[in-house]
Amino acid sequence: MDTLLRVNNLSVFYDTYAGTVQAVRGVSFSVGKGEVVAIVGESGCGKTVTAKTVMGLLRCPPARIAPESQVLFGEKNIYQFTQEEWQRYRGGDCAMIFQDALAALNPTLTVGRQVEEALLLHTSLSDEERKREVVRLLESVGIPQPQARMKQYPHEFSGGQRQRIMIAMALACRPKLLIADEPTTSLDVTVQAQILDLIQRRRQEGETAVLLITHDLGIVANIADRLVVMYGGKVMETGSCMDIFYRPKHPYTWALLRAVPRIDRKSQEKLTSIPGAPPDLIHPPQGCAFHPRCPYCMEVCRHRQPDAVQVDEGHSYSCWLSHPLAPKIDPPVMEKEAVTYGD
Amino acid sequence: MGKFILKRLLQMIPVAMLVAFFSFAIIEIAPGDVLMHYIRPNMTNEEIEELREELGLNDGIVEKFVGWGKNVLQGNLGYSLINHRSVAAQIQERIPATVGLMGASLVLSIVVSIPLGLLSGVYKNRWVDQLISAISYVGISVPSFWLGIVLIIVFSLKLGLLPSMGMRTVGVDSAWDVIVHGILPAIVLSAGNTAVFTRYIRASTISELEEEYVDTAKSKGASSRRILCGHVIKNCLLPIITLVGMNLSHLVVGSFIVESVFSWPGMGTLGMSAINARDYPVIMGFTMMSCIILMLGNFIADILYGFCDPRIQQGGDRQ
Amino acid sequence: MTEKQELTQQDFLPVNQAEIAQEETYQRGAFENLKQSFRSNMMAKVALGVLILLVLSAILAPLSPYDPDAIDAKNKLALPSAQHLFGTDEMGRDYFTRALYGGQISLLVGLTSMCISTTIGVLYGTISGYVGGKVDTCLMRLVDILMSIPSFLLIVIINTFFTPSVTTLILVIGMFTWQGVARITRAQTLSLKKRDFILAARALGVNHRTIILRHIVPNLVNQVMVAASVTIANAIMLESSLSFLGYGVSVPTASWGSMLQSAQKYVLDRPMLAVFPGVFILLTILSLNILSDVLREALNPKLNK
Repeated sequence: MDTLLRVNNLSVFYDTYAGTVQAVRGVSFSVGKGEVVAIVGESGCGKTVTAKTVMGLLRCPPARIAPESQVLFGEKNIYQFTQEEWQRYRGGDCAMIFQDALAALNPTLTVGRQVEEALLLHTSLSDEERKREVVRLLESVGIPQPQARMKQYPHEFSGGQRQRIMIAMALACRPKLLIADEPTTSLDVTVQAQILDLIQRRRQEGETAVLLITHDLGIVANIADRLVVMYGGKVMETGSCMDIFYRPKHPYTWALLRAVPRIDRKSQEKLTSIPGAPPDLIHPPQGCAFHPRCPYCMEVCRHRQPDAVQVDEGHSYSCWLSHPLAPKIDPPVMEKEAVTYGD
Repeated sequence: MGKFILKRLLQMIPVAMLVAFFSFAIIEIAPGDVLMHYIRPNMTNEEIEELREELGLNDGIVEKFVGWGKNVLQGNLGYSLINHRSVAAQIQERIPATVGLMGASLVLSIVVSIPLGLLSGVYKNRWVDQLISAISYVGISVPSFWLGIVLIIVFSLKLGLLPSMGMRTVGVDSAWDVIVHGILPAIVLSAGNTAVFTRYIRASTISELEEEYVDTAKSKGASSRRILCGHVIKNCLLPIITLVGMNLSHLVVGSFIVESVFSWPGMGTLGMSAINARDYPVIMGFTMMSCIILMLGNFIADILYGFCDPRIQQGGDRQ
Repeated sequence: MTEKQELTQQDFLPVNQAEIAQEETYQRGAFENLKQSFRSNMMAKVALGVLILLVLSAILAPLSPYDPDAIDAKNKLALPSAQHLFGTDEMGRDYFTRALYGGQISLLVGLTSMCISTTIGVLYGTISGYVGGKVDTCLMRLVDILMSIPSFLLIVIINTFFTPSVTTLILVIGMFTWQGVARITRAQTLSLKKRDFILAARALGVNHRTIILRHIVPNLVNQVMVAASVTIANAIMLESSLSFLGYGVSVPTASWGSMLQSAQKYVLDRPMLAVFPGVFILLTILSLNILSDVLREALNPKLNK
């Protein structure tokens, strides 16, 4: 599969009143053409910052991107783009859906105009054609009576409809990459499924790659090809959906998987939360980011950062447990039994 | 929208009542017997009593208030104790000068503050912003009467460019003459509001630029200029309408002070001389008129806002 | 990396999580914030310096060799000189000394009327917010209504019924400028009321008066301080406007506003007479405004960037 997006050693800092927040620390991953990659992690682990960096939406200052970081789209580093290249890239090659569609839509412009703007900026359609395209787009994401409703304002739509409008807007110019930042978090479950279905369908039709940012492992299982598990601004484990769900290697991934409620799980098995809180990224823990909450923490974890270790093709993780001197630990029983999951 | 206007009208009733009570109280508490101004030396005691009855001076307080209210609604605000002219007529001839001055200074404030505020907000913490912020700090803090005196010293006395007093040159009757006379008063009156508006627009530009819809527009590929002109400006200028409404009382009070600095023949000078002369009916009329201007201004501002912001066209309240 | 070689079996001993000392969490109080803002803000330092200087010079005014009210017919409208720093006014009184005494009046009026209006506002606001319900609605409607009549106008008119003096001026300004503070404290009280420590106090049977005075009012301090600093600036502006129009302090007492009023007549010959008091007013209000913004930013963590 051809690589569409490659993020190399990305580090992002925020200079705040209280100190420098190290939001993302040396993250690397890639997205192939037409592939769905999910970045998974708790809130505050740097997923949204990563997504915004890829879209070029970080406000610098207060944000600062480390000079050695690379975000390659195709062959080119997006942070060496010219003004014109940026404008073609944003909205044309790459589009984004936000978590809170109400905040992400301009409250004082009609929905139609906001969808139309994307077309206006990236296509040479006539006014008439643009109007027709907007109606078609709204219809395709399931907005009833698009003719009439395109003249309405965002607050006149339901939450699910607003997110559909966002999707229509993002897909207007058939981008090669769609970044979806927690697209379903603020919606209720049935609407969540519809929205995911919509993203899934568009991806199958149009060869749009998706970078899905979420904290919800449940929705990831059905839609993602590959997963990137992030914690404390670092990648803990990355691999295919199968790898992560059936052969997880990192204690954080274990903990995450155990925290997902599942119907097929035996009732006596307890749902476990991860004790402690996500790290303070102003003073990130020395060594492995997860060590203060890790039940298998060792001396070395507290002082040195583990290197990534390759397990299979495309599956790697960063943990000192991979070291030959480390005690052998059996992964928690639950993962071995999880054979029925995701089929 | 109709519902919104109706609701807004209903909200004005208690304010109007309070203004009415207050105005009535001015007349009632005023020292001295009103009758004294109607008595001619050759009147008999019976005639005086009759007059007293006729003027309603023997009535109870409620009846007096009702009678007074009826008169006011008919446009009869009583007569000046000093020159015995009708208060309503005096106010009527003074209103154009005051409203004109207020309007001119409001327009000036808005026209100046919008570009300054946007510039300052977009280039936050750069030198342009710091310069504009410093100027607006001074603008907020400078007493208008002092600014007036300083401008008179500089532009009228030292440079001799602009007239320092009144609204017209004696014997000259042209609109241009009035405009020239109005330049300094309008500038002085607008200074405070311009500074307030500039700071507000700066703050709202900064906060609007941090809104997520700006990210959306950016992720669609819109240029910074397009984001500013197409998305942000409308949203940060909307609150100005409310702001104008809120600052109308500054404008009304400011116009009295400015008028007395520049001897501008408006309601302010009328009111101030009435206060100095303890001419209570005129004070009453002046107070009432000021409050009415204020109420109307606020009302218009709210309705305008309702028309401009799609979020409250459903008749709901703005958050 | 060569690190791998150095690792020993020792490094791979499991660690008991409970032994890992909790890292110190980052916290900074309002006062620390304030200090920080002052350190990094040149303007704030200058404003504070100017204000302290103005207050000190007003307090130390009696050290001046001149009597502010002593008339000297031979020295009318003298130009500034080593003897008379700001010159003299139309009655030969030393203008510098008068400006210092004027500062006393202006600052006194500003400070005391601020105290009155803040007290009224805080009580009104906390009671309204604490009691809630219909009482709250009525009280706040009243504030709205009062706010729709300009307090300047009210004060001018009320002053026509009294002989203006410093005391009446302070009382009247204090009594008609509390609405803003009331609104702020009410909003704050409403949110405090729902907090656990208030609920706990109520559950313990602490009476309402104690809850308001011991638990709510102390938590309003930050917001009220900001509002109060704005109120002083407004009160000083109000006093000088009133005195300028002749409704404030009466002769021979000097205040910056009344000095400007008399200076207006001599604008042709001695424009400097009009400049000095105005500069004093401007500096006072400017520093107060700057300081109140610094306060607001330091005490309101939401604005921290």
